[in-house]
Amino acid sequence: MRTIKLYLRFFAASLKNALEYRLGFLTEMFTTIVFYGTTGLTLWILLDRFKVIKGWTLYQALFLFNLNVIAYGIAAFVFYWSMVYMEQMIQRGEFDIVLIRPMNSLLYTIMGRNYPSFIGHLILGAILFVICGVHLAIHVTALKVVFLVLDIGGAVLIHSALFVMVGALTFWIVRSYSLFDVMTNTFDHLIDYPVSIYGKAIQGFLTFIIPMAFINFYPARFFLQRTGDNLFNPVLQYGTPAVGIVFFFLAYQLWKIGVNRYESTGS
Amino acid sequence: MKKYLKFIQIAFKDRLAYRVEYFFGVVGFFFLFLAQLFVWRSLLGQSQQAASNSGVVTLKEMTTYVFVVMIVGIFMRNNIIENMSIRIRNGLIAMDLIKPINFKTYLFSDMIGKSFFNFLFQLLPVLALGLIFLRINYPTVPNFLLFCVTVAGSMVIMFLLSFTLGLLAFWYQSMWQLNALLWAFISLFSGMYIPLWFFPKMLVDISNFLPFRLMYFVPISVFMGKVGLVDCVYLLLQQFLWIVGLFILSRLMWRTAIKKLVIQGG
Repeated sequence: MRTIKLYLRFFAASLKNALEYRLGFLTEMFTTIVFYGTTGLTLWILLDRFKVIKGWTLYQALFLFNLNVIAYGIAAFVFYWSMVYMEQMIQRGEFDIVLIRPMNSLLYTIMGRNYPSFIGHLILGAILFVICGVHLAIHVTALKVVFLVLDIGGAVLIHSALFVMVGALTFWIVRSYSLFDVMTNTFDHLIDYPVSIYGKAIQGFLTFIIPMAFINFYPARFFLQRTGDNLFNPVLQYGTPAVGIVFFFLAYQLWKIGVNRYESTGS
Repeated sequence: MKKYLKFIQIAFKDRLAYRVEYFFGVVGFFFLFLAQLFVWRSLLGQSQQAASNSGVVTLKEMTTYVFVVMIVGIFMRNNIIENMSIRIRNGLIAMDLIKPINFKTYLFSDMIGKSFFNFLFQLLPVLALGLIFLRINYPTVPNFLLFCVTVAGSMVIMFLLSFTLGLLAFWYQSMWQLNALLWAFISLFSGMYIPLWFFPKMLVDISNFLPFRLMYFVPISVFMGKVGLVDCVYLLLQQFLWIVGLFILSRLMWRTAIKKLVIQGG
């Protein structure tokens, strides 16, 4: 309870900080919307020409893409900046400060380093959801809404786990920029399209090793009631929340091992 | 000239120093390459070909396209905007200005050194592996030479564009935004993900007015022999005009920026 209160305090501070530079905040939001919007536009160009990709129509593919935009936006809001910053904290020995605080080290690391401009993702996400909802005529039921919330929660945890893993691995490799790039950009790019287009090896990789297929592919199959492209086992389409919790737990264990390994810098 | 060759060498060595960085770079290329291949395989479907704005395109051609995108991409990626904005914001630029070097040429040499390292040691292994499993169309010798010339041209365009935008750091703080917007435009209009053959007409018209098409799409089309000799001359001329235009613009901006520059003592 105390932690949540503290977190909200820090959040309020970072939001105020962002709003202090109103122009900067707005242009940042604009940038994230345009950046992800162009990926959406790429999908539109492809499917305007080819009509379907592995049986997925334009709006189905956009729905899939959108689940990832929202999950990434929320996870990045909480973890992006602090995990990018880990590299510098470890190189300069600034992580010492985290260790002497009477608080969980991961929580303290992320406090006050929110990234409010990721609100842009949520705006884009809301717009895309409305567009997809209208075109796909998804029948909204209470059960589906509950599932949507749970799935997004699970997806956010998967993305968060990836951020935390990169942050934790920084304790070993110190220079983590390209690892960060691979884990958060390259893999993210893989799930812009339905995972069913890939070969079995990559499908397995994205399901069982780096479970990014659970962020959007399996949930989207459920919401769009797709009967085709059944990978591995149909039960996987309900797996996102559980996978999210397990994967985040593993990431947290890695973080703890990393913190124990940390030995400041000299001088 | 000699000192700039040295800069190229230093950039090369700097990349060698971080092996984990290097490893994940390779992993990144591998997955990007694979993703694009699978996307086109499933889009073209059973027939393994599709109609486009310029005739039928086969799966083998698209494989070639993705293959060359990876190569061209190496020479387009650089961290000039980021590098410049850091130097300008924390005043390091003052040190660059008092050294007996041309700042712009220094950045250019740095870019060349890094690009060639990335090409030789990160991308080449991935492509060599690809060639074992994939069949692509190889270019004729004249086409290959023309390809090299157009890539060199697009590299200069990319450099000047980054440098000019980077100079905006003298006036504007959040440079990563401009960088992100630049790449948003590049990824859409350059043909990096989708060749312009598959674009709706309206977007083709827009891209004709932008330099981005000249960076990826044009060199790759030349590689694949899709461009006639007359058109090729015309496209090289376009590249040349963009280079001249951007060069003049960057000169003007550099002069204004340097006059504005005040470094805090200390």
